[in-house]
Amino acid sequence: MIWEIWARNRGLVWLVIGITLFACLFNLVLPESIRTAEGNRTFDAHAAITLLNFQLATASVLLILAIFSCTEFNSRKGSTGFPDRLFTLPVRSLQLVAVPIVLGVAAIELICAVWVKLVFIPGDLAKWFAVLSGTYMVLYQTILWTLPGLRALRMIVLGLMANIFIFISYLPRFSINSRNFTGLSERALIVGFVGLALIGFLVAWIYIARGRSSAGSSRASLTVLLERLGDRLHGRDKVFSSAGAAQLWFEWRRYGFLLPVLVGVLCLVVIAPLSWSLRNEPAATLRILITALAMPVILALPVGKGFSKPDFWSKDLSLPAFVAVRPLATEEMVVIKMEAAALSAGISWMLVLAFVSLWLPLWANIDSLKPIRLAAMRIYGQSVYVIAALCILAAVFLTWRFLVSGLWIGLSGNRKLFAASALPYGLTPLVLLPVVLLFGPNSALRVWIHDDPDRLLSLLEWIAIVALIAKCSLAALSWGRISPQRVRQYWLIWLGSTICLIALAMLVWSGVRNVLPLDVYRLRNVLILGALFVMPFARLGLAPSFLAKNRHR
Amino acid sequence: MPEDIVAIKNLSRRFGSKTVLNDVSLDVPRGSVFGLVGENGAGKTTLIKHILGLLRAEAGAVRVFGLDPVSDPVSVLGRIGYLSEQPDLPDWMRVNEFMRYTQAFYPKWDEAYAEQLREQFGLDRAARLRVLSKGQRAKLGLLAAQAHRPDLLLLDEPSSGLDPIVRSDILAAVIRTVADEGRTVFFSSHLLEEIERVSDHVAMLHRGKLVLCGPLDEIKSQHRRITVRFETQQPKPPVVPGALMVTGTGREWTIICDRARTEVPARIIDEDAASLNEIFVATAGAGDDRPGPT
Repeated sequence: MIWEIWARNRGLVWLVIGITLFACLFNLVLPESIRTAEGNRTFDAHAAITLLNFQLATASVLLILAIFSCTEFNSRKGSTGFPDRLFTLPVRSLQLVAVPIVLGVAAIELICAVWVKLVFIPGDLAKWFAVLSGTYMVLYQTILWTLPGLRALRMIVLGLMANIFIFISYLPRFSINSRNFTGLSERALIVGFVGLALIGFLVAWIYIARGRSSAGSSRASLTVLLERLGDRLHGRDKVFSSAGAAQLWFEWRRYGFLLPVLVGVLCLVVIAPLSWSLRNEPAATLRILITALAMPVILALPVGKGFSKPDFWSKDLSLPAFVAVRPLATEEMVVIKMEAAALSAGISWMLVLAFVSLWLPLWANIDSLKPIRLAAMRIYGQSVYVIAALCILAAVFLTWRFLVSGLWIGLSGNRKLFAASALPYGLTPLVLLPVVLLFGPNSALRVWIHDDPDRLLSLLEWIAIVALIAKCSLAALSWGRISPQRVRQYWLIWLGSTICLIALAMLVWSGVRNVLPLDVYRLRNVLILGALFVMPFARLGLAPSFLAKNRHR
Repeated sequence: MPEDIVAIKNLSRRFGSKTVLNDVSLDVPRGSVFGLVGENGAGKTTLIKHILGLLRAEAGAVRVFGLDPVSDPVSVLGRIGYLSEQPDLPDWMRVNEFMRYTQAFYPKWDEAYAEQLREQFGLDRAARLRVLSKGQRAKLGLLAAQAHRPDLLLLDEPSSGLDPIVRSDILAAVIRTVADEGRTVFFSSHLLEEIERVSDHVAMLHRGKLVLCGPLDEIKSQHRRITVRFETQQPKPPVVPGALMVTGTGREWTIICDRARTEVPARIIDEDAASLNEIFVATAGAGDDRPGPT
């Protein structure tokens, strides 16, 4: 079993080792002054290094979780869970469960210890943190194995659990300073979490043992309940008005609901309770508001990766035969995906706005928001409400953009291209580091900008113009093969949304032009050019032809 | 509408270094039941995928209803009812949802007929597809393929892994389709007795090559099974001009031969029409240079 875990995840294991070694060596060669942030000059560099270390450490932990998930897709059940084929091995159920759990706990403890000892400021791995990470690993595996029917909703459960664990990991510090906690001792929490880990282990053991003896015939009552709930919400007895409507229903049922559900659950389970518990802290209101408003946009990034694939839940990038044989034009399939994304983005934002419209007037402490509102009213007058509405609209467009901008890559079926598209997310920490260093205090670049800020504006203006010409040229090529009717339809949508964004840009400009010491006309141009890039155009035109190549291989 | 529903000319296909289809040409006449036989890996599914437009012809041409299924998938697929070997039906759907969903794509969907088939196949409307057995999933797939009364019913190994009762249901559906306004059926199988039972045209694929193609009666009449007895023991298979395959031991030997056979140098003790199975084994074996052929 150990060998199987190794053989299946060799690549990931080497990746974890590589990332950890890189971080160790990188931090080893750094000057001591940067590592310990001595003085203001090195503070920015230290912050950048810490950010990079944190990102890499997070990546390592996530990879460890992936390695020890020990799950397989079961085609009979249509879900991913504990590999049923292991049930036929001549070993006890206890061994089947204990081996991956013990190995997983050992691996996560080891990786955390390495990071703390060798990368972050050298210290001992706190007992508290060691128990927390081990417990999370046990519960993580238990949830994956015992709730296979929840499918994607397990992501929500695991994500929430991670947030709760991160929050709780700060509790010993809060016990002294915070008014909101009763000061549970570290020892008490350690005992509690060890107990939780043991319970998780027992649950996993019982579930696997029962599954083995009943051949997996019983299904969790929670899964059955959720399916019945899903039926009430989505069940379909009426005839569809068209093939497009049927396919839209299919796409929505398959994955379209995911973003709204993620947003809704996070609002309900995390943000709402947090807003209630911090209702007496004015400073928290602005942070919670920003988090709530940023949530759909940020979540759309990872969800969009799945949206871009022919089948959200499958690693296979080829168009499923079930969909490929539908008498539906390839172009139509892409349009339907865009419609599903629009529905997803729209409903997600409706949920966020519903929460905000209840929270702000009913129990939010808006003292910290009043100065901002007054300042905005002074600058923009009554237009501030129009700006606010256009900002929300812009955020909806941005959410939709993140859901669909990768369609041309995912629908192509090209694995290398798809994997390459994920590189920017992984390389961002490495890119951020030199950028932060470039913009450090007294850096040449900062001095250059400070001397004449309009030079930066001019540079940005030219970059935007060149990018716009490239975008228009690519759009002319990519949309050339699409039917004129579709070109007209999307052109109108793009035009309408871009006009809204340009209106927003102009309104923002009208206020800041008198405040910022910049060339106001260059600033206006940069803002308008920026507005032209929000809505995707050129790349979307490639999606139908790329999908056609995937459909007819 | 062209006389041939499907027209394939010089079709070739490679996957990497392996040639899966090698210069295949066949025509499926309208109103026929066309059986495609071949061993596992012969290229049957690949050929069917070309008919559906899921694969693009690297060499040669494929026309369905006179149209290219790659450049005009809507027109072609709208008239085809397709049942794959392992129907990848969405497990989360219920039977009634699946029927409603499929119905939306086909203007000619016959709701009463679909309901009749559902009752006949014993499928519970509220049942989720994930709880259906393999046979039930095959029946549901067949329902979806038939309910819109397609011009071409395309079945890829429809009875693979199914019990005799379900296989019988599927064959009955095939016969019904043909009887119903002369629709066309194209199905692949490695169960030759099924092909022989319902097909009027047969094509045999062996390692990507078409070794036989034509009306079933004609093929069967062209091939004979002859049992002969030699005067003396034959230590090795005798060389018989025109024989595709020679099997046996000692003095008694069985020869599968086509029309090109000449006189047999032994006493004929039995002669009969060869079964499709024997013709296939002999023809495929002849291509592999087994003992016997001249």
